[in-house]
Amino acid sequence: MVNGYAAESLQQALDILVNTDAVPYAGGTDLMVENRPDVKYLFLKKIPELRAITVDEQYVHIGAAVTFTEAIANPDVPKLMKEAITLIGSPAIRNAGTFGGNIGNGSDKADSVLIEFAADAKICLVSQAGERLVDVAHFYLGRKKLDLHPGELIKEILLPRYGLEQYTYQKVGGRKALAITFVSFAGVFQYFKCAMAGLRILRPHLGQPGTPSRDIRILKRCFL
Amino acid sequence: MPDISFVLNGKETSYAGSATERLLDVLHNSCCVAIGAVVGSCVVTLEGYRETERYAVMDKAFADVSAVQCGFCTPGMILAAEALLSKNPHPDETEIREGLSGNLCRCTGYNAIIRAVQKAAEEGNGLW
Repeated sequence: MVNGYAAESLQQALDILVNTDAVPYAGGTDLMVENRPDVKYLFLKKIPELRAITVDEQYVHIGAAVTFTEAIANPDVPKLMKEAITLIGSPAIRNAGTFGGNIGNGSDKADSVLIEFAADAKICLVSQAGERLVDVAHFYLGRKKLDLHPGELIKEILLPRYGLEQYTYQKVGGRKALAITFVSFAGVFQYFKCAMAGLRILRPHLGQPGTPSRDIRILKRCFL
Repeated sequence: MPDISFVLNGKETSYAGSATERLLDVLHNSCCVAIGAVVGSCVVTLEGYRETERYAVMDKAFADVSAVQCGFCTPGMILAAEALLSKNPHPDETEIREGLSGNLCRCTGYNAIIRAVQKAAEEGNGLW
């Protein structure tokens, strides 16, 4: 009956990943819709390192198996990210959906990934060889294209703790809840520069699907 | 083998919302959960919930305001309402709409369902 492997520790998960063709499973909201025949999953929800939100001097570290509901309730998660993930799916989807899954499935409609582009987030990947930290733009290369090596798991999303306070975020979907994003925009503004990320046109009749684009221009220095 | 006929498959799209269960005390769409992911977990479906006092209040409220038409969405609506009231026993209308969101009623009987949840919250005062 059990359709996969339940890892109790990160090391155990990495061993299973190397020795089997199991597919990493965090929340399941995308994988279950795909419904791959005869798939074996690697269940990640019991791994403490993937379930935690922690902070250091520079970054908020969001574990790959942290759900959107958990992040919304956490005081350390930047408001910009909360605003975007509050609009994902529905309460039941946000109770299950995770940050690792949202970027890991390589969808070009992933709402948290747009914020990661806007925020200059970093992705922490882990394998038996150790950890690797990459800029989100170097990891998420396009629809279904990730720089994820064999034997690697997404461990954490690193969002800057400071500099995201002033922002704008807009999402256009077909309805209020359970709305797949058609177009979304996130802008982060700082005193001396304006960094805008992500005009994504997702419906074919509006344009070609694309990855978030990023445009940074130093407008002028402002002194308040 | 327990009768779990109320756990519906929301066409494997996680859209309809009728395929719903409470898992680890939070609402999940059962069609989006692999069985291996819930080993060792407590799963409550409508079958278990309807044995409770809270369900009796919810059932009466839905019946009193005729919040059921075809009935397909009702299991999801009731478990979403239970999840909402267990966290927020006295929600306002906006909070009820948010709590039920994701459950599509193709009979478009939303207003009656919202009234039913309000009525359940009033009449079950103290249960949640």
